Amino acid sequence: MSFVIETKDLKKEYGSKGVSFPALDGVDLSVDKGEFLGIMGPSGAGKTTLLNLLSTVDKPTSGKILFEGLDLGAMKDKELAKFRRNNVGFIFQDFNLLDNMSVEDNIALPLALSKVNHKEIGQKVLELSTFFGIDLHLKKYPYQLSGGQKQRVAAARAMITSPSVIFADEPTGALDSKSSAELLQCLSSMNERYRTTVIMVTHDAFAASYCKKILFLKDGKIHARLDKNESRKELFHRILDLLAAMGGNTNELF
Amino acid sequence: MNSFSIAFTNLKNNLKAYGVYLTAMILSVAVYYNFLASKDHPDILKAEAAFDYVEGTSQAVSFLLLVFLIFFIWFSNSFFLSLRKKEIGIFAFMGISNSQIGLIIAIEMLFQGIVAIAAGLMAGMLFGKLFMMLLARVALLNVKITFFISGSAALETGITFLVIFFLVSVKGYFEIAKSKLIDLFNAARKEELPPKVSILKGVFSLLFLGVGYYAGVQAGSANFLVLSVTAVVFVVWGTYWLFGSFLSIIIRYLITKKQILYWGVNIVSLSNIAFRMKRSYRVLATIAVLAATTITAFGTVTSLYYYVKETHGIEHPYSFSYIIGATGDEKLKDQVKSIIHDSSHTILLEEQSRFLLLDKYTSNYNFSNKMLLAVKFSEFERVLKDLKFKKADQVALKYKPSSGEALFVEKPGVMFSLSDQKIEQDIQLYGTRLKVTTNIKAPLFGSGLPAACLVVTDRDYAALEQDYMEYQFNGIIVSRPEKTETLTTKLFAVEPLSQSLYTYSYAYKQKFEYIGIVYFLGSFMCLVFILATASIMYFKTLSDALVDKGKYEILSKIGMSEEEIAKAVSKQVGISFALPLVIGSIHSFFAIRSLQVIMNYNLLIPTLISVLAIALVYCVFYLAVTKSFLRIILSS
Ligand SMILES: Nc1ncnc2c1ncn2[C@@H]1O[C@H](COP(=O)(O)OP(=O)(O)OP(=O)(O)O)[C@@H](O)[C@H]1O
Ligand SMILES: [Mg+2]
Repeated sequence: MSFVIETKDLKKEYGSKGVSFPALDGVDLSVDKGEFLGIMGPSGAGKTTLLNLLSTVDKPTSGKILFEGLDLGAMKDKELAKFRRNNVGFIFQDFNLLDNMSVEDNIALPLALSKVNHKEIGQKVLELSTFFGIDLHLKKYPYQLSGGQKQRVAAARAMITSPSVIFADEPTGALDSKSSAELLQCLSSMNERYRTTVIMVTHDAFAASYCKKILFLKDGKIHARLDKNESRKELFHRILDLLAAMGGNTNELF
Repeated sequence: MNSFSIAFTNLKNNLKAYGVYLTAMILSVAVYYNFLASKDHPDILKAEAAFDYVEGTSQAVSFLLLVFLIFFIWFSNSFFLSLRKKEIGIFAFMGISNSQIGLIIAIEMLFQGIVAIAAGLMAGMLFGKLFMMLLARVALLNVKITFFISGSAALETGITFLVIFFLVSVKGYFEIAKSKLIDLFNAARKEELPPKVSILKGVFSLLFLGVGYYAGVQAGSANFLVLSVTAVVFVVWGTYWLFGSFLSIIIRYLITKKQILYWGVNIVSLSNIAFRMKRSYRVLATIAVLAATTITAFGTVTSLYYYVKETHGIEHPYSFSYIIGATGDEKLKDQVKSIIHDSSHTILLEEQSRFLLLDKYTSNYNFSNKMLLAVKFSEFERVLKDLKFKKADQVALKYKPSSGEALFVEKPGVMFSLSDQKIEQDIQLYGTRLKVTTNIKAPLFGSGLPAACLVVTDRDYAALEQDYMEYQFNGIIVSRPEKTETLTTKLFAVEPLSQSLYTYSYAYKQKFEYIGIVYFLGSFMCLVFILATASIMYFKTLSDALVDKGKYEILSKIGMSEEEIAKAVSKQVGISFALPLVIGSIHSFFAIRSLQVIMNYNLLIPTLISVLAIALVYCVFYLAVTKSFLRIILSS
């Protein structure tokens, strides 16, 4: 079986002229196709940094990232922007929807930029909005939606290019528990149905319990890893146990 | 730190960012100073004939300019203030009270104003000589321009602008003192709602424009004052509604047309413009009206200039002309020639033609002047050739009168008339009845003999000769005709000559200078208008950039490349620059059309020139503003 993403001794240092410090310090990981991977860890552990590197938003100081076998380090900036639009999708904590476009246009945006035929775009928008349960709001504007609905619009937008991987950084961070559960359910079934790989950073043990596999980062290194083998509830307890064992104050993580 | 020193450091730190605003203010001061100073300039005072015109025109123009500059300063100041609301909000966050911040900003604005006045006066004085040299050149004044500083103009400019800047600062103070902290802080990212559009207003905007255009075109031939005021009111009103509703409807429609919207960066540019319309339609409509005014004004002065240049040859074909009896007076002619030979000028052409003075005739047609002359066709043909009239051959071929017919040559100096038209009017003379076929404008005697003339066949002329007095017209062209003042004085001393002597240098001082000055000051004012409206667009677009920064950040996160962002920005900014320009051009096209009817002169070329001039300046501003826009949204 091939990996969607593979990294080798990935390092990222911030700072300049002597006073640099490693935000990521040698990360080796491989993500299977169709994986639902969670990344957890204390604040400042390097989760966002790792996500940015994997999603080509930022470049590593050293090490290699292979995306479906392709070496990202060899690509130019211009190619990367296109690559990003066609192969990965993003869901952000603060939604990042455009206020001046209708829900429909927000979802269509990435394909419209790629000049895909408008009928084809329309069909995909309809299909995905139905899947995410927002088909009744297509003509509305973001300010008319609830937080949960906005995040599902963002998820639909991330999916519209049929990317191989979706990156989500704290997607439930701004949502209440009910909306969180709805969104996670959507992401989970999307992962099942479209076999889209999802890589999600989260602080929240409940959110993480929807994942199939969880990596724990600490001080820029992979500290531990959990695989789901039974129910979500069982995984949830194991996560809590691990977080407690990792030492830190568990409260700080919530 | 007190308000005063905070304001001062603030100004110092922001000098670069305020560059455009300050430059605009400095230019305003410099230009206004020059307009005021032009009437005090000693070298222009020397050119007496021009003086009255310079004074009159520069007063009128400087008043217009002042009104416009006040509007411009007011406007750009508001924009500038809104650009800085966030910075102001940060002050408020630091616990400084609103009225204190207002005071800081007001003092800062006054500082800025004083800097602009000082720098503007300096620049104005430095470029004053250049300005006057251009004026003298275009007005064809024969004066040498020296460096000159007008104290009174400087004082007047300084005080005028001090008052303006003071008022603007006071307004700024109240604007900030009254505002709420949260508004200040969120000014740049205020929640935007999709604009509501009124279909009714959209339809009415077109209707109003139609009525305005119709009234404007009719104004040329009917009740000018009432119709032109109607035209202006309807067109201005229509323009505001056009931008407020009609264009919004169009853009909203485009947004529902997914095959257009979902095509590359269109989705971004169109969405941004659609939402912006509500906030910016007033600015765009104002710019459109100003652009129309500028193009029309520039078109008008250019047309006048061209018109006078073109008709110059018809009105003043000769350097000197005089009239003597039909038998001629060889002694007098030799005397004239020898005086010219003794001067530094050489004779280039001597023309003699005989004509009849038709002092009695009847016609039910109004020939615009009672005095009517008659000339042989053969002589007319020769004169046209000698004077190198452009259409000489064409006139001779096309309009050659047959027996009983006459060609009507318009009196020189008639500006507004119907020419090259068939008029078919009968005219009853003593023994002959003539049918006037065509009305043309062509050089013949010039203003030395300001009367309309009938061109008849040589045989008809012989018949008329029985009943009317014949005279001889003498025209002379010399080299450098514009510098013949001394020669003129000498010729006027020759007794019988002085009664009918007409000289170019005399005529030239009157009309050509006047038109030249109107042209120069008028087009200079237009240039100021163009620059100012373009700067307003500059400020407006930059404040848009601040609002759009967040949107482009999101777009870049979801994979829009820098190249695509640049494309979207160019499109978005381009549309908002092009709309007022296009609408303004259409307005001015109709305005100039009515002028064209009045002047009966094709104004296409001058209009095109003025449209091109304004478009060129807009292009330069467009490129600059797109660059700044990109810099703002791509900076982290
Ligand atoms: N652009 C940057 N410049 C300098 N240092 C940075 C930058 N971005 C992140 N860092 C540092 O790198 C480390 C890792 O940051 P990162 O954002 O990846 O943490 P995180 O695990 O996402 O934390 P959180 O849970 O708070 O979001 C932190 O110490 C942070 O201060
Ligand atoms: Mg983070």
